[in-house]
Amino acid sequence: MKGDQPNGRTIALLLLPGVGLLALLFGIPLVSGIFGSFGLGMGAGRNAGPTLASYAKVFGDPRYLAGLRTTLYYGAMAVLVDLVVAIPLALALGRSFVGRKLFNGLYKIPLAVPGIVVAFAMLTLLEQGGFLSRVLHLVGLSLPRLVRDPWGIGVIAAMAWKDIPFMTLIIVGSFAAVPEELLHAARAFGASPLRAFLKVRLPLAMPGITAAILLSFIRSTGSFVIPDVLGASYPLPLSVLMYQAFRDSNWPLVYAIGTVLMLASFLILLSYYFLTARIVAPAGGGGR
Amino acid sequence: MARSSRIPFSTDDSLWLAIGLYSALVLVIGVPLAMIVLWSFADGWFPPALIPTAFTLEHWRQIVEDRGLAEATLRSILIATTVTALSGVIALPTAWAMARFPFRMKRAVEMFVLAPLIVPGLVVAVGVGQLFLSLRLAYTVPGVILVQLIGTLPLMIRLLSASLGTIPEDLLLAARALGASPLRAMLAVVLPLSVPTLVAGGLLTFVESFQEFDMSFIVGAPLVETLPVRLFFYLDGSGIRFTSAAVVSLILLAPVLIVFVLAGRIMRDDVMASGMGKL
Amino acid sequence: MAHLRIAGLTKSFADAVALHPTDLDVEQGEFITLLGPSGCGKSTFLRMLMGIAAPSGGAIWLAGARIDAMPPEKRNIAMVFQSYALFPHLSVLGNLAFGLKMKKVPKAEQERRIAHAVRICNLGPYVARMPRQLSGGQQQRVALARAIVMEPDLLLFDEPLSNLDAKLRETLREELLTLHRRVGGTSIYVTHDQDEAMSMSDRIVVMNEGRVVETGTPFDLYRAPRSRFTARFLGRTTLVDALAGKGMARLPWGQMMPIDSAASGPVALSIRPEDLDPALDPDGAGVVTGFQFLGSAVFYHVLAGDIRLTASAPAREAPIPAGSRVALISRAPLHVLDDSAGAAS
Repeated sequence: MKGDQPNGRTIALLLLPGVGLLALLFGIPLVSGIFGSFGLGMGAGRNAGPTLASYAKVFGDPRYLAGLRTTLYYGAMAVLVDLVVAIPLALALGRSFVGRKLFNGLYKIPLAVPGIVVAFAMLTLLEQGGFLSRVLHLVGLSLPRLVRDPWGIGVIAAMAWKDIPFMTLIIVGSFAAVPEELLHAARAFGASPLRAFLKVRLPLAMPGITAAILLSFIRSTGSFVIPDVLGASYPLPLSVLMYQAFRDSNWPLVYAIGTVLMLASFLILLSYYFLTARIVAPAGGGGR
Repeated sequence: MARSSRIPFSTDDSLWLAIGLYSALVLVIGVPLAMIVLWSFADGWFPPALIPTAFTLEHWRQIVEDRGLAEATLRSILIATTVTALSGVIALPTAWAMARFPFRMKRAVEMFVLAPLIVPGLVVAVGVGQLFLSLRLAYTVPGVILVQLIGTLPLMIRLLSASLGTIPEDLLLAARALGASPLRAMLAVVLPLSVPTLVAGGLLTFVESFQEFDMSFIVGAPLVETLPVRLFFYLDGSGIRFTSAAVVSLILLAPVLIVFVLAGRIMRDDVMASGMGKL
Repeated sequence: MAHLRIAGLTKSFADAVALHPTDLDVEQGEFITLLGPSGCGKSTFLRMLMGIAAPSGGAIWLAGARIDAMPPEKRNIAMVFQSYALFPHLSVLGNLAFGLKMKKVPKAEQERRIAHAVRICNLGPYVARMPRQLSGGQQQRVALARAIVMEPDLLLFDEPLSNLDAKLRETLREELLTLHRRVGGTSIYVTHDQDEAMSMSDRIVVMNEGRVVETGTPFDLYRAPRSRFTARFLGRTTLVDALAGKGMARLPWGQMMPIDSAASGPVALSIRPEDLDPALDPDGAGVVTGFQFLGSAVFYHVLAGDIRLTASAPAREAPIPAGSRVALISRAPLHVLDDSAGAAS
């Protein structure tokens, strides 16, 4: 049984608290930030705008270009490590083994650990003189520089540690959303288990997996605690540079960096939405 | 998740798999966490010792004695509770509208509600930070509460609209037919049926608020110290205090893990991943 | 004025009319069924009676008061839903008391009404249980009891038995009807199942494509439907064109049979299987092409001339084999359809 729908005004009123608050606190600052990056708009961003001066600074100054490179580097490497671990892990979780239920709960622990705590834990482990180096010392090896090193190994390790359960969860879900019947059909038509996986399950799970990758990437662009604590002092990723600009009250710079980061996020958000819209269609019962 | 294995396994195989996985688990997750625990009790732990040479409760006693730490803890709890309560109340009508009524700009609203979760907290915070500076909300507790709401509202709205959408329309019509005004129908039918989601969502929101760093740091520090902010100061720059950092880390982790287990009982995997992964 | 009076009730949307202007009078104590296929408008009709859909036009009076503008909670109407719509978080007792609490009925009166409903619906052993602990049939009885305790001016049923299996449906049908009579209320019942409609109703309102096709008692509608639609929807029929005059009609295969109308000229006849008796006859007008043995009766498919029709006979002897020639003997005057009532054909 369905009744008449309430009128637009009631709906607007219902939406008002949540959407309104978000619009005020999130939407407006964001928009004003975009304007501010061009030297327009209200408050501290106002210059003799419109101008691309801040953007010129960002893309002209080697520090910030290096920052962009570093941000992308950290993001890409973290995602790579994530995938290398998460996909096999997701596959393993699909099989039955002793203590699977318990494991299913335990591997998600990093989800509950806040970024700074991860940074701290990694520090104690990977620093020169940290736990790992002491263990290696026992067998006569010495630990290469892992924290505040030019390759950002500590940073990537910490990001991956935090992200892998999340990735795994998504990938397991994406695999599971593929109807078993399709795989049975593939097997019935002569495909071996491996080929059925490669040709049927994996491609159909790809939209979900891709979405997970994109989201992970975005989160890493905004991560500034982990690079700040574990990363080298040069080059710094855009996130840390942005924080420094904020502390210096260099607003146009803040907005410029912020807009660059945000643009990347929104582009990725759009692709995510297109991909998830497609997931619901093919996987039948996968959607709500 | 009782899926039939695609490939039949003998018990032998799965035993090796289990051993391998659990070993990895202990190494990758257990060891770092053990580090933190050890450091919190360590009384002098220098290389090349693999475990602390002596143990003490001194650092834990610091919680009570270190006023800054005690204050930060209480402040975090206060903020997290307020944020949780506010999120629930504010999200409810929005989630209701989104769950039950088709309207023209729904997709756009959905994306907008999702956006704060996608845009990195840092970016959101500097934007809000500037706004708050002019509103004199920066470096205040209400400011931190408001900025955290930006992150928790989308979560609550999504969780609630998922659960509110499952309430059959017949139940509400039956309530109306039995004499309940629309408001009373909400209170007598919708609210009781939403309690599991509200509780689970509330727990997740509390967790998220309690451990939130990026935005609280930008808007609040150095005047408003939440627990995560304090931890940051223990790790920043010279004179890193591992022992204090360890204690604070454990304080941050303990409620989170408890809630994690509780929420895990109430919600399904994928919903919780959305919550924890802030999808 | 009738207990329930509906005048010109209509509902239209931007691109379609769900219900064309409709009139209906229902007396107190009547059991009326709205019968028709999906999309015929019966649910829209019900929703407007309930108050959850606003009419595009027309008026509704119940017990003397005009109700079409009232919200559902102000109307004294109770409804039994197809999905039962029992509140899962309340016990059976809680469900029964819900409406009484909403309308602030005094405690003593609440208890009296609940006890009464529990008794006549046989819910005694179940009052403390939760809905999920009950079977489908039990849940439906709770839904009914919940409606009865409200002592409504009008009781609405929205296909309440369609979720149940056939045997249970038959049992509950009788229970519902018994309860209706004991309560003495006025009921409007919506269904697409013609057996339900015919066995339960005082009157049936046949609907199709947003219009009322015709209204009448089950007997009248079955034996003497005015429109082709009704003839086809209720029971089996063969529609045959014939030439009428002076109470007789010449059928296409040449036979003359009595009809129930004084019309003359071309007419449309609705021939029910039980109207014709097949008898073995080498000169007969029809040939048996097949039959369905239904236990109590045999339904013969007979080809007479170009017309395929169904004729039934009690199964007292062995069925007439296919291929046999039969004569068709009319048992009663055949019914002439009156399609001038604007019915859909």
